[in-house]
Amino acid sequence: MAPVATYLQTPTEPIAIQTEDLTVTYDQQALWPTNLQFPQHAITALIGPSGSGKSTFLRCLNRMNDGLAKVEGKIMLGEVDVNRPEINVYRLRQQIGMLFQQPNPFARSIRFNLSFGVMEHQHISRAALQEKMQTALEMVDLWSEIEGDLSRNALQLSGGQQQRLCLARTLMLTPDVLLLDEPASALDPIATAKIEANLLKLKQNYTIIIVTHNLEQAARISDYTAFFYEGKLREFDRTKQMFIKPHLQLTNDYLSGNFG
Amino acid sequence: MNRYLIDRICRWLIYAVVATVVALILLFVGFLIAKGWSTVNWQFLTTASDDGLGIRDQLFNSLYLLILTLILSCPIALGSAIALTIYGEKSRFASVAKMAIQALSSLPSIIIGLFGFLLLVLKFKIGFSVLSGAIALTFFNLPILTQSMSLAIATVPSSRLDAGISLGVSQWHTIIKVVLPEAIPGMISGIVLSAGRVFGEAAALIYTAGQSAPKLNYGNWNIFDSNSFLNPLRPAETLAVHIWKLNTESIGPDAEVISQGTIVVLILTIVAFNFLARQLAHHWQHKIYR
Repeated sequence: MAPVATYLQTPTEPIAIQTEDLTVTYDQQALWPTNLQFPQHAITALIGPSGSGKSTFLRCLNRMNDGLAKVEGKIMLGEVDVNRPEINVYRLRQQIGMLFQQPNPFARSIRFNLSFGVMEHQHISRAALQEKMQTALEMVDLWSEIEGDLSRNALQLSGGQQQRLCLARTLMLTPDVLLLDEPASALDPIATAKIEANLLKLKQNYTIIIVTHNLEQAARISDYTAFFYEGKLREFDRTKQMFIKPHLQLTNDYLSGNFG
Repeated sequence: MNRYLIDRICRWLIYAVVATVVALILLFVGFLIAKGWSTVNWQFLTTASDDGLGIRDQLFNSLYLLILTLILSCPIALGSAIALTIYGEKSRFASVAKMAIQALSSLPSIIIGLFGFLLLVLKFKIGFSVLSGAIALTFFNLPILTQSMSLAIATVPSSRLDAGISLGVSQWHTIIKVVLPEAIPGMISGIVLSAGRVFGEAAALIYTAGQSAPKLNYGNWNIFDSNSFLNPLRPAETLAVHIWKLNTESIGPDAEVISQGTIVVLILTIVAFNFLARQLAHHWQHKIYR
């Protein structure tokens, strides 16, 4: 295999999570050895054409590919390699939350949506739960929109509200890392703007990794950007740097829509 | 011809087809009910057939068999449905199993009856009994019930499962607490509709539950007594078998009248089941979707 040109910048901030030679194989190899360092309390965008391996990569980080693909290599969360069989994946997924492309609230009350995950992980008093739910909903600016009525069915909310509810549902577990798989691609521009505002606020306390096809979105909200192409990580750099002057011609072509 | 006209003609054609079907059903059911209606009264429902014009024990046998059948078939069907739709969604085994279930659901019920007769009544020496009948009816019911439960579970988007798993909840717990509650309205409809089929089934029971309805004592709760209404090892002729028997080998002068009355009871019970299915499903939907 001919070596491909890559350019990987090393972040200066402390690292929250990093992969070492992470590979994914379904029937065929979907991700070639990937070494990527995610700075703490920052937003990192994963971009690249469809099928470039960015979503596959993302789903490895909280072990959502377990049983679906062969994932090899290390995923270091702090000092711990979480890509080992003896790791408690349920505990891990509490530490690394995930938001999906389509809003996927449970077809139940807002209260059920928020409490379901928490109750699985810890015993918590009714009052503490109530407070936690309010805090989570306030963080995603949903508390006032639903007027504090937690008994409403989640499916009655608009698409954008549903997605923010899903974000709040993840925040209920007080994770360290948030994985977002094109979270705004099913939403209109206003709902998208609200999600982005949420993320910018959340990055003070959370390490956020977002897969997006929306390059403006990556430019608007991310601090770092990783560019994937054909199952390989090709360029990783500060977003400002990459969007002004990418190091690779390939990245430049992708960012300027000069493909094919 | 212009397109509006064609559109309108087709729409009326479809209405006409629907109207024909509805009219046929109403005519058929109306005819049966009109013929038997005068026979049905409280005495008819509460007298044993040995004592005259009654179907008390047949009615109870039908209900008792139905309950036993549901107790046997619901857990198995639910388990298979979960296995087929969630765990084995894409597996080769599941697709083979689905095909087998489909084939089984079109198996003539007389074959299930004869199979039950050979295996349960003769080989296992259970005899003509409620139990043999319930097991045969379980065979009869399983394919349909598994299919309707699979369908109910499949209507719950798989993204719910992803959501639960991403929250660090196990797949099993997500199934139990999120997926199944959401599938319950569909499952209730499936159960009650299959109950209607089971309730009206005759061929699978003639050689398993038997064709005699010994007079039952509804005050005797000892299930080992032969006249106890709860005894699962006694023969138990049901409404549908009763109708069949009255029309094939009865010698009594009232056979036709009793048969017509029994038909009315059978039809009305099944209609009631369908109504109940709607109400229950609606009620549950309301309960969780609020």
